[in-house]
Amino acid sequence: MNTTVAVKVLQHPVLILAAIVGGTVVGILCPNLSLTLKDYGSVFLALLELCFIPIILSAVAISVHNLVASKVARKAMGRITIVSLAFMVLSVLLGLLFSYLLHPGQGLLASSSAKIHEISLAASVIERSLNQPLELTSSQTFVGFLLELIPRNIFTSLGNSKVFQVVIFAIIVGVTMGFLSPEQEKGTQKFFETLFEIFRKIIFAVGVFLPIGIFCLIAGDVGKVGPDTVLEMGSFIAKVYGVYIMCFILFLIVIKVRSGQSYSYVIESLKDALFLSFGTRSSIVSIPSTIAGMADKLKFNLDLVDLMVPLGNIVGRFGNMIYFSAATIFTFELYHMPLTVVTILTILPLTMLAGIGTAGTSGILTLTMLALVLDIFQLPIGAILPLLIAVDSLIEPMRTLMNVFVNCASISVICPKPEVGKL
Amino acid sequence: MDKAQDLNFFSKTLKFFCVQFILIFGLAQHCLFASDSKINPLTIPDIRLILERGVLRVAMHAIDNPPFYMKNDKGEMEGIDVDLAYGIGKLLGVPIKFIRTAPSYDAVVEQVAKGEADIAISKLSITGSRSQLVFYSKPYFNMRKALLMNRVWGEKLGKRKPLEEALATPGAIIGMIDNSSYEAFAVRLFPQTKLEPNDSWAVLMSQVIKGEVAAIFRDEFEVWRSLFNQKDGSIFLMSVVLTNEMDPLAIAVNPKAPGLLAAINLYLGNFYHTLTMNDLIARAKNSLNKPKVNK
Repeated sequence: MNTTVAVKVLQHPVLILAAIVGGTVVGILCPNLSLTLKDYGSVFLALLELCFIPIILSAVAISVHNLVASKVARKAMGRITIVSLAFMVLSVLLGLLFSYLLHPGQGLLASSSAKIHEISLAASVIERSLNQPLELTSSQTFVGFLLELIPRNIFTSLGNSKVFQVVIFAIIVGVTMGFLSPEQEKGTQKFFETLFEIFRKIIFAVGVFLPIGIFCLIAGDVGKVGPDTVLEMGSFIAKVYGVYIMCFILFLIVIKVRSGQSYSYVIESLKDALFLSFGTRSSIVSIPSTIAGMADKLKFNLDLVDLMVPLGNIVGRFGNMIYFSAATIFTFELYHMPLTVVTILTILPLTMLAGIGTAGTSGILTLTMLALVLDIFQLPIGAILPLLIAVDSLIEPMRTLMNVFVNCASISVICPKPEVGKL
Repeated sequence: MDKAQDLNFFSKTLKFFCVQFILIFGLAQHCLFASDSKINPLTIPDIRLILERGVLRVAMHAIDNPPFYMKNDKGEMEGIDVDLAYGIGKLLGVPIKFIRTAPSYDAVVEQVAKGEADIAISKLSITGSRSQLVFYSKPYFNMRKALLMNRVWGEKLGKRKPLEEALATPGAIIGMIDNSSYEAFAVRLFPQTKLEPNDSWAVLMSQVIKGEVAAIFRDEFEVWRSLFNQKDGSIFLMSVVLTNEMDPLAIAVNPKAPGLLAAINLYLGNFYHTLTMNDLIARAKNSLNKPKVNK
């Protein structure tokens, strides 16, 4: 009895918001303390990371198996594809539109701060001999990209947390399960369901410490980025959050309409997933709570939710696409490149591709995918990337939250409208 | 700390110098104690001339160039080149007289060639034409040549092509200061690229920011400083330091003073703490020429 009360108190949104605000304040006021806190935050994160690979493996295998087995899901295949693509296009377009309105880049450049100057200066000196190219790392070829997707040795892929390879493996396993004898099929399904359940419980248990974890991690990130940078680049950070919040509101309306519930009930249902993704920057960790929110509380079709939450959370990356659109607008404005219908049509598929390409990556690796978009327009990424990296640990939580949230919105459109019983 | 180091350094200098010169040449001892004893008649003639005059004349460009040479708030000379001049003065045991009248680097070298100055320490690059007028010491600072490149041009020229090939793209222009050592370097290094020299570095800077030229060409320190002083410069520009292309700084020595040249080379080889680019940047940040961005 007492423990459930304690859990309720610890997971109360007010406490979590207090942890976010408190962490920021501590990070700004005592950077030294915050670095120690970050280590404790890492312990929290490590406990959750422990669940990554088993959750991906079991969730994707189960959902793909359901897709193969269940008629509902198979019939929805076309709808899933169309809606998912539509939501990607929508994310990019909204990202472009809101960034065009808010100009987050101006916030980056408006301050003539020494810190920004120092960061960009340090990244602006390179050493080359005349027979070397400006860019030393050769860009990835398409064949190389394909090769990278195949889990040649599944144990190496699992051991090295190669998320994309694990997903591919899980898809193969999920499909193959459909060709087993009914007995074997049941057994394998049970195995994966049990595996998922184990790690769902672990995530739930660790999640109890979410407010403390968030407090430590945010304090650590603000401290690491440095109060100078946070304050000087505050306008940029605020505008990016502005773009995200505008998108959030639009997608919230979508979920509200589709679920037939009130705004507050939608948020209440998804709050665990949202807080977890914000606090841990991992959309994978929030898979179980997203499924719970979408299926149990908002009453969307369980089969489809089971299928789409893991796939969407891992590959969807809508939040990243929004961020790439914002960064692209910023770069275009910076180098006085006009935005025309043709350029927007070029940006669109590239940004979607770059977003999908970030599946399973986090942090700086995510940002380098931006080069995929800018390369086509021959725009330099070298000057912007260090600035984006400098503040990324503060942007990443929101980006992850949006990955999860927009995925929920797309699922709400994929699923038929639930029959809402009067409460 | 500087003074203590200097003293310590000076005493080491003395010891080493005594051993070498007394044993090997057996004549320079008097140079060190020139102030309290008569000049040894066996002193190398050109050094003896300086000792008899009682002052070492050092030519420097008329315009301050921090952190190499500049006047501080009290009107005293300071900087890397100035420290070096004082070090050589201590070695010989004579005070320094700075000659700050030359309006160009070539004029600084000419003052030494004409004998109006004994040496020139003035952030001098080694060039073929100058080496026909004066002796050069061995380098006291190893800089490299660098391109201050417009980032958008960098993308346009092809960032995955070898640099020399990319710069040979028709339409690409490299700017540099007219009649400077860098014009000669550029002719040799970028034979297929259109070169557009200009008298003013400020004009070149605005050209490269606007993208009228693809890159401008100078030593890595000046390029770094230009980036540092230009607000938002690194958004549009980047420094490409050419790793195999050295631009060493050396002291110009009066061609009639081979003894002095030998003494200076000995000093540089044995007693001088060679600076790195990072030392230079640290000193530049502290120097009088505070960048605008800090305000």
